[in-house]
Amino acid sequence: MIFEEVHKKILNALKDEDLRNGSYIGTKFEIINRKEAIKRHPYVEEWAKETRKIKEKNVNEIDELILKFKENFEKNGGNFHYAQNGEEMKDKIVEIIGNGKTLVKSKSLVGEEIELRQFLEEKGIKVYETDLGEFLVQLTNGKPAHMVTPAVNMTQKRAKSVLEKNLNVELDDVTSMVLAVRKFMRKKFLSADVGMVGANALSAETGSVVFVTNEGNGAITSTVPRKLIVITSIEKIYPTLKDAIKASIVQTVYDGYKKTSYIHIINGPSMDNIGPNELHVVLLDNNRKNARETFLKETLYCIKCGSCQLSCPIFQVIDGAWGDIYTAAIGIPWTAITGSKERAKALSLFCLNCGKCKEVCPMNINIPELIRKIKSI
Amino acid sequence: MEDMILTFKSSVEESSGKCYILKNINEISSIILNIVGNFKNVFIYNIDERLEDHVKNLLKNIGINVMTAEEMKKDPGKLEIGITGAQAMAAESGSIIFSENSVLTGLTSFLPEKHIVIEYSNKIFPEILDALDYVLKKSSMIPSFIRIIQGPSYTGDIEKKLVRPSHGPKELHVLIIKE
Repeated sequence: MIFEEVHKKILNALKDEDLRNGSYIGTKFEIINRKEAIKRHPYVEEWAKETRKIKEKNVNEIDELILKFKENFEKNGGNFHYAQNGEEMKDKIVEIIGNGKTLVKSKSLVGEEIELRQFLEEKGIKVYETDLGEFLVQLTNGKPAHMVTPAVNMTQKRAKSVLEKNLNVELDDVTSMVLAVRKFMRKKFLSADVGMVGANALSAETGSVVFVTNEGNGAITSTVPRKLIVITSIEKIYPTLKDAIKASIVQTVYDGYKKTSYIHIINGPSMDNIGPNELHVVLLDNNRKNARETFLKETLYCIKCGSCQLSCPIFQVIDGAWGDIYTAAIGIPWTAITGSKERAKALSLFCLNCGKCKEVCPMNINIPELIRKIKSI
Repeated sequence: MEDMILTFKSSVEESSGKCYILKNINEISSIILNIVGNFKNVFIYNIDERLEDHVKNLLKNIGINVMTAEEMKKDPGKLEIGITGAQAMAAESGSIIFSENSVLTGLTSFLPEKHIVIEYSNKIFPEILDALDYVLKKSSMIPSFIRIIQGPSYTGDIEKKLVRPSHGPKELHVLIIKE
């Protein structure tokens, strides 16, 4: 039954010419972009190897790392929360935000994992996705197709009509779309009660949150509202701040970006009478700790750069239709950990086992082997 | 040092920022006035004390509203041009780093149409981790916020086409005064 459902979704995606064009354009330059970005910062290859080693050690010391992060983050004046699963996390977040408040949100995969936006909206919280791709996903009531570029499968034509309809403006090229969203979102930024960001990495030693953005939405989200909530998951904790920074840079370079416009290191609340004087970190487990005891353990080394997705020949044609929240390649083992095993199994049967994902993974994760094992769950 | 300044300049310009290398502070005025153009509301924050009055007077003399910290806190949406210094910079990646326990430097850098950084060349370090080390060693307690800026904001979210600006400044100008 689940297999039929997955099969149907993929067949429908194959018929959607718009989506196929979007996927093609979005993934066309991925290999060239990544090669050039690595060539520009050659030391990143070494950092990737270091990060893998640290990750291997981290999974065995996760409880100590969480405790150390909590201690230092609280010492800096932050509020720490821990959630076993999505339900617990959502309840905690609603409580922190408060009824009837307005939230400006930056991109977060954990937010997608627990279907946070839908939940908050049901609870009467007004949510604005401030990342352009994620905003397009929100406006179309869709799901993010890629870990870093959520609307990678949307053509310019489609994005234009979505924005014109929702913002009530006439648009022309991509530049005009970006400007219209900037104008619309600026007002929301300046009046929102709460800001929310995801994290690329956490540092236990200093109690720091590291996150990167290009659009500057995370920059404004973390400076204007009086309350700031960081949502992330336990495999993102690193022993030191340097490790956390290196991992964040590895993530962006391997996704094909030579540089991100902003790297933020948030250690504590604002001590002034402006900016977030209340700072929260909500950390999610959602079966990650259990996964350490299974063949899925290697999945936890993933830094979610999305390289494997972009290089996957199936993703290049049907995009996020091969999967639900975490899509294609490493998305299949992630689905097995954080979602349904049966669903992951049904998805795994479509894998071509070509091995491209393994070739490009900066953490050298044997993704084809993980998917092969999921096939026989 | 000379090489490092040039590497820094080319890294900033690689990501569509503009970098100017100045022999002394007298060269600031023509560059700043050109960038400010017809904009009226400027906020200057966290710049080297040797430069602060010089830059303030320069702008006030031509009738620019140099916002006070109170004005900025009350109505940050008014800001058009933000001028800050940097605690450290990194040549290889063209990074500008500052830290603070408030968000005023952040707002001054993220909200305006144009962000101008004015700093002395001795704050340039070879690589990002060196610059970060310097910032961390300077404060006894870890600061609430450390921000690293590496170019004006952009998005690649529609068909992976790069468009500047997105939510942050449209332009980033870095003035380096040789020391």
